[in-house]
Amino acid sequence: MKKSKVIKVDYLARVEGEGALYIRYDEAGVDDVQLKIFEPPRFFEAFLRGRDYLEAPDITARICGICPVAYQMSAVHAMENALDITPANEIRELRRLLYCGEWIESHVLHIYMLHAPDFLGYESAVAMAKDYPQIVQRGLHIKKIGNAIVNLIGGREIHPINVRVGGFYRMPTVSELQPLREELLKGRDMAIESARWVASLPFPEFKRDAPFAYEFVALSHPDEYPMNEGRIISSTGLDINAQQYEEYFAEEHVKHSNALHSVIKGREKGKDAYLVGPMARYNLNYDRLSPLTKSIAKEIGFPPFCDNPFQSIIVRSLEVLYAFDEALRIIDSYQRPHTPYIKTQAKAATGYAVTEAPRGLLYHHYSIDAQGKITEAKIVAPTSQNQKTIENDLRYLVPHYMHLEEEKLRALCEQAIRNYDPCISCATHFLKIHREKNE
Amino acid sequence: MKPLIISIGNRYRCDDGVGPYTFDLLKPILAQSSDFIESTGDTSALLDIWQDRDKVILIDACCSASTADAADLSTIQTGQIFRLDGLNENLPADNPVSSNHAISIANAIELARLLHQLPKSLTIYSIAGNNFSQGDVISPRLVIAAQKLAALICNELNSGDRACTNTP
Repeated sequence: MKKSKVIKVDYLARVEGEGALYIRYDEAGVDDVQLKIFEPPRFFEAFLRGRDYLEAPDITARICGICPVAYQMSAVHAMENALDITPANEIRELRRLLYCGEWIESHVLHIYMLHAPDFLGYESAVAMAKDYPQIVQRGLHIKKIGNAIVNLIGGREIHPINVRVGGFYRMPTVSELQPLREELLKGRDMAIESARWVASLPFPEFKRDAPFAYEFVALSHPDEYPMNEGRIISSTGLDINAQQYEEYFAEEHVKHSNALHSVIKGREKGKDAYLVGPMARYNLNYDRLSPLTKSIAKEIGFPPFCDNPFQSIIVRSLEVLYAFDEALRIIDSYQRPHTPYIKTQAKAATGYAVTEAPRGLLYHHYSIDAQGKITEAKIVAPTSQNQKTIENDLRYLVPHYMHLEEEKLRALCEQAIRNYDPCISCATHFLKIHREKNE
Repeated sequence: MKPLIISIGNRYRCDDGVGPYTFDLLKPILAQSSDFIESTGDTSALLDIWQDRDKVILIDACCSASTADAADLSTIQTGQIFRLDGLNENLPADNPVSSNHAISIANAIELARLLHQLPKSLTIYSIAGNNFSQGDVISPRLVIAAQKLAALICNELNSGDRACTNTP
């Protein structure tokens, strides 16, 4: 009789999402993988109902302490879509600058504090700092500059309060942005060093060939690397607008997770997962990165297409560099508009928006009544969309590394989860592994 | 250089807001003689905030027996005030359940130690809370404790003694 082994993690600790991991496998392969998200539902969509449409950006920002800007951006764009308004270009650009700040702080936190220790064999960033103090210091410094952008444009570093439907409550002056520019120049140099260092890390081999190859899904915009706007495209030819999202993507409840699993509709069971986030953005939008970012990618030998999720840390480091470059471009061309926002008038309507949170596509859909009260809200977060792909990665990864001793295999599985920077990723340093052998 | 008083805590999670509450009590009294920073929750930012400072006082909430599972916390009473030398005493281990992407204060101190970004003196005051649910009401026992702590800190800063320093 075959020997069955189980990797079981009861509690993914120190996370925003509460989860566990269960993998049952034997010599023939993996029988079952379950990324168990048991965090209780938070009912954000339910308690948005009845609230004023102007409150949506500030309420949804509270969903995440790391990417509140993403929630604000998707919320304001969905409401503006509902009300048929298009803010001035200066507002559009400033929103993009705010998003640059969030990408920098979120990506750098993940690169330096959560993911890099995996590649170098440390249990935490603190342990890594003993041997690599200057590296960790650099990470903290870069993150601080991202915080400064969000603080200046958003009003505070975490859960910013300056974003509103139609624009901002207050727009900064040109001179207020200048000190930030100096910091961004320094930060861009550090981001280049960061990309070079990340590229030097040792990466586990992992590839998913057809028919199990990834389906990458991201926004795409003809003129820019996607953040706030664009069409939803995929590596297999999907090309839709935000309003069509629910026609092509569905959420399913699975017994082992309180977070719904997203799938592409109409696909065969087991082949309906897709991947959102930096790797998808990069693969589908490489040509719209800045010349500097592309030149550094070339210098470090990183190709325009990446399908090893362990190398998503390189993509993040390149996106950080891009965000610095883009932030500088925006500041250099910034002109303060006469009014910080367009006044809006409530009407019964429905609106849709998708933006690119650091972890990937973030879909918002709202209906409001004639008084501007929200009657319906639907929010699909990137981690929810990646859950099925994370499970599939573990399913394909474990058979290739079954020769590893138990502790190393567990660590590799944790690292594979962290490739996606899910809100559950920071817990995995505290996982426990149990092996069950059945003769 | 003026002493720096830092509060940590969420004003909208009831007793977790006791740090900012104490901060509000102290600010009008010590505004001329001390600097004040209310932490946004990004504990990694503390390293830059307190680096090169002579004296830092950090105020936070902690769990009491009624909120903690750990047996070694069973004697901690709601409203109890703790004073720790942040440079020489170890903070309790992380509670893995309660944190998010942020690093813990204990980790921030350890990181600062490794990166040579600790202040010369770091005193941590903590008040044990009972209710960390949503809301902005602080338990009456913590309100009394915060007033007591504010007086203690005023006294400490005025007398200039009891410093927790890393200067031999």
